[in-house]
Order: sequence, then C-alpha cells, then structure tokens
Amino acid sequence: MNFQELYYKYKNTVYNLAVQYVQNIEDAEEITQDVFLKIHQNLNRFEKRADLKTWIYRITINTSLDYLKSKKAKKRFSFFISLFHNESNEPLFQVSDFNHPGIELENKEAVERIFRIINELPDRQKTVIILSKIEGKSQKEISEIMQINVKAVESLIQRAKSTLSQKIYSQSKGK
Amino acid sequence: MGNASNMNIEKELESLKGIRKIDAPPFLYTRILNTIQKRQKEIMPVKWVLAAVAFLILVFAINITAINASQKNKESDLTEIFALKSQNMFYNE
Repeated sequence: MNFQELYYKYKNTVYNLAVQYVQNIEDAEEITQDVFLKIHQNLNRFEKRADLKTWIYRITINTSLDYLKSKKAKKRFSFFISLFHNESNEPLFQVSDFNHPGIELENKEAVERIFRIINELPDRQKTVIILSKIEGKSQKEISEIMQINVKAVESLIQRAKSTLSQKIYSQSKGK
Repeated sequence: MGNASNMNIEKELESLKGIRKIDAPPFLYTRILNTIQKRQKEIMPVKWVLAAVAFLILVFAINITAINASQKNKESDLTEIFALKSQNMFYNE
C-alpha cells in the first residue's frame, strides 16, 4: 500500500480520534497532519508483522497527547507573560477551546461537561475512555493498541470511571 | 456515592455514544504533501553541508600530512648541517 492509498484509507480514523482528544477541528487538523508526516517518515521501517491500523492508532494517540501537553505549556507561558504585559483589555484565560464538530446542538452542553472532566483524567485513563466509550473498541482491541493486557485495560477503565464519578460528585457538591 | 454514582457516570458516558463521525477536510492531503516536499527540500542542503564538511576534513588531513612530511625533511637537513646523526662514532672521519 502506498502513502496515498494509506492516507485515504485511514484519514477519517486519525482525524476523528484526534478530535476526541482536542475537541476542535483546527487542532485535529494539525494532529492529523503530524500523524501522516510521521507515517510517511516511518513507513519503510514499519514491521509488516504488526497490524497497520493498530500502529496508526498508537501514533495518533501519542501525537494527540504530546500536542495537548505542548499546548498546555504554551498556555502556561502566555499566562506568565501576560502577568507582566497585561496592558490590553484581553482576558487572561481563553474561555474555551471546545468546538466538537460531531456533537448535535441539543446535546452540546451535556457532552461538553463530560469532556471537561475527561480532559482532567491522566493520559492512560483518558485514552481508555475515548477508545471504549467513544470509538467503541473492545477491551481486546484497546489492549493491542495500548500494548497492555486485557486485565490492565479493565482496571484502567474502572479507575477512570471512579475518578470521573469523584469529579462529578465534587462538581455537583460545589454548585 | 457507591452504586448510585456508578449509575450516574454510566449515564453520563452514554451521552458520548451519540457523537457523529466526521470526514477529514479535503484540503488536508495537499497540505500534508506540501509539508513533505518542503521537508525534503530542507534535507537536501544538509547533504551538501555534510559533503562540504567531509571535503574540509580531507583538505585538513592532507595539510597535516604535508606539514609532517616537510618537518621530517627539515629535521634531517638540520641533523646533517650540525652533524647530529646518532651514530656510534666519536669522530667524523
């Protein structure tokens, strides 16, 4: 399979998975571009034995998580700079990056609320929730993508659910 | 908390199932190809830089060899002039 065929086969898989991590199309486009550049660079080195789709999933997850980390660092830096140069009336914080294109308007508020909590989860817990609850992957598929055993996936899902419950509980208590 | 909160979280997570799949924008492939071509162009000068460095190292090595050879010649000239050749002779006969 050449690069063009590979792109057209997996572009939506990569793009949709990236959207679940960043919840807006601009960042998802950046991530999709980065993922396919990495695939282009490493296609020759890719071992034919491994599953291509799993490999692409892994690259997309790692690229998305790295992208989020660097974005967070940039935000922190710009906040720090704004402390010293806040001459304009612009707000110190950006209110929201949430602009998920796959959500119906009537569900937007509820889904945005749950995404805000998912975004606070540790990387691995966030990944299992995205793969199992949004992408609809089985525990076996998740274990192959994350290169861990099925029991570890199960335990990660339980831990993620428990963290989410605690966060929802503390949020509702705060209201 | 307990069972009630578990039910609650399951209900919240259910709302994620309604998320629609979307298509990647059509311009993205052209953008990716352009970036690949740009990167390949950037890699070319690196090859030239490496070739230039290799050439400089070669010239430097030849220079050092030439200097060493000329110093050896100079030394042998001096030993001849001042008769410093280490031979087991007490007098120049």
